[in-house]
Amino acid sequence: MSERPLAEVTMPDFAARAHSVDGVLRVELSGNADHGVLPELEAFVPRVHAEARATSVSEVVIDMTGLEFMNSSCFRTFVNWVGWIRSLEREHQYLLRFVATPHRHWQRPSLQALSCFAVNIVRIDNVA
Amino acid sequence: MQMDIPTHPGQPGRYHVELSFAPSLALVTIVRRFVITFFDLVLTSPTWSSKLAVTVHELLENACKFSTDRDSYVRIDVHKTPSFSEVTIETRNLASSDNCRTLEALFAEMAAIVDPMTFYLARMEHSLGSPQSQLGLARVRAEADMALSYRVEGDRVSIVATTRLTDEASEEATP
Repeated sequence: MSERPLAEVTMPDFAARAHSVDGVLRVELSGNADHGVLPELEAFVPRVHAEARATSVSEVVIDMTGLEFMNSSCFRTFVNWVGWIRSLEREHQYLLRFVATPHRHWQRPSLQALSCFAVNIVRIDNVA
Repeated sequence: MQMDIPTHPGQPGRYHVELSFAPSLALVTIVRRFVITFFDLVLTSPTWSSKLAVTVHELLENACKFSTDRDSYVRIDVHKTPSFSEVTIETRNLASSDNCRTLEALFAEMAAIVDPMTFYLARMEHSLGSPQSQLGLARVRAEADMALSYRVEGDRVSIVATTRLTDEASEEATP
């Protein structure tokens, strides 16, 4: 694992961290993503997208297992992210692979909706 | 967590919570966490609690964002019967005439696109490049299976979300 995160947000009730592990770009989200963290999340996501493009990754893994809740405004940052990927030429597009937990019951319907929005871009992995 | 909460002797199976507060936005998450605890006590499914918490958060955040006097109000009613539970969540706030018109337009669009997921996906598409998300109501309909209605009287706005929860619905939704 790289020592220095590629992008990071640390707030009292929310954290986001992007780093590269064995050539895979990983994002870890934890805490509560609500109105109070929206500006930071809106700045964080484009940085990860830029890194993904610069390193030509085939996918970005987004671990949401530690995320208590995400409101629709924060969710919209991921809708935007999907939109940016969708606007790339096909050979430059990459997958967003979300890691969700069934213990956070809001995650499955939210991510299923996002995968309906972009069938070829969003994947969902469920962990126990 | 489950326990029996005694209800009013004349109204078995009926529960309600009513909150009015200001200033608003910073308290929405606190209210949502409280509401989850309430639903975990009253209902029997964490899936249900989660759907209702999503509803409370989104409706209340809207009420707070658009409140012109910083006050927000939410009331949650639960009617439990042996075979189902009916839940009603109502938020109220004062709003500007511009925001009342935006709300009316959103509900008109919702009426025109009956399928909740189709409407949600349309709102996602619309939100790309838009300064405002406006995904909250669509999310509540599609993800939390809520029926939505609204009332505007002058500058008073009320939004009501209702659903009927059955054991079958809970089993379907449980991963």
